[in-house]
Amino acid sequence: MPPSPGLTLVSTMPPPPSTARSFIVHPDARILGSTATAVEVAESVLYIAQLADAVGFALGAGRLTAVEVLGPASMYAALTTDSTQRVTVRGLVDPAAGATETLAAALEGATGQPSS
Amino acid sequence: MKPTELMALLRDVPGVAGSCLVDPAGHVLIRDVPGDIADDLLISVGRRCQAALMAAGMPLPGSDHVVLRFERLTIFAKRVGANLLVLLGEPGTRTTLVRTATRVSEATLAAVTQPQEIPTHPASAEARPGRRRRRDEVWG
Repeated sequence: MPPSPGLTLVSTMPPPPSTARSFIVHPDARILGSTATAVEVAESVLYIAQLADAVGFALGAGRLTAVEVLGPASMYAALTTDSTQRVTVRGLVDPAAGATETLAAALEGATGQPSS
Repeated sequence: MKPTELMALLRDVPGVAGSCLVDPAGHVLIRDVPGDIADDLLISVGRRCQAALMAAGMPLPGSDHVVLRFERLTIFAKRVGANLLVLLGEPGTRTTLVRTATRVSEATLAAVTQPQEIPTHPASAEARPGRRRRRDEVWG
């Protein structure tokens, strides 16, 4: 049975915003960003991750897996830990306000180096 | 609607287990979280979320909402006026739903300047197994 128009709207993720910028923070702390702003955002995500670590420990919440920021712009960053506990941070920044779920989905499908 | 009623309603957002409202001085104005979480811990969480928002605001001016996703918990922190609204939820709690719910209550919660009590009604809590189950999933 085909989904109703309402269900289709809910389940279909819109395409990633064409204006999105991306960044990667490698485990050795090397930052690659598609723009200067993307690099600045990556640096702030690292600071936020430090703040969050203490919160997560105090609450018994486990490892930090993602950071989202919303406002006039939006950002989604995913933190992945490899088998040697090295953390890689990959993120997308949309200069326009939007849903971070969209950025998260776009990030999941993205591979390789930062692009603008 | 009273601020305390709005805070209690936030638990109706799927995945949300509780919330608190913290003033700029770090005082907890309203708390609607499980009793085993001390005020000191909430204040510490609030301060760090405030710092996270400030850090995010440097490259992204005007940022007013930060979400920290952990393996077993999600923390949503949103500026409401001078206060900070902090919500605790399950890992999969959707940002869009939380953002919509907090937007509705923003003006009322921004106006809170004095601590307010959310009355606890154990009997009515028993009558709402859905809410209790969500809390248990988050807090084990």
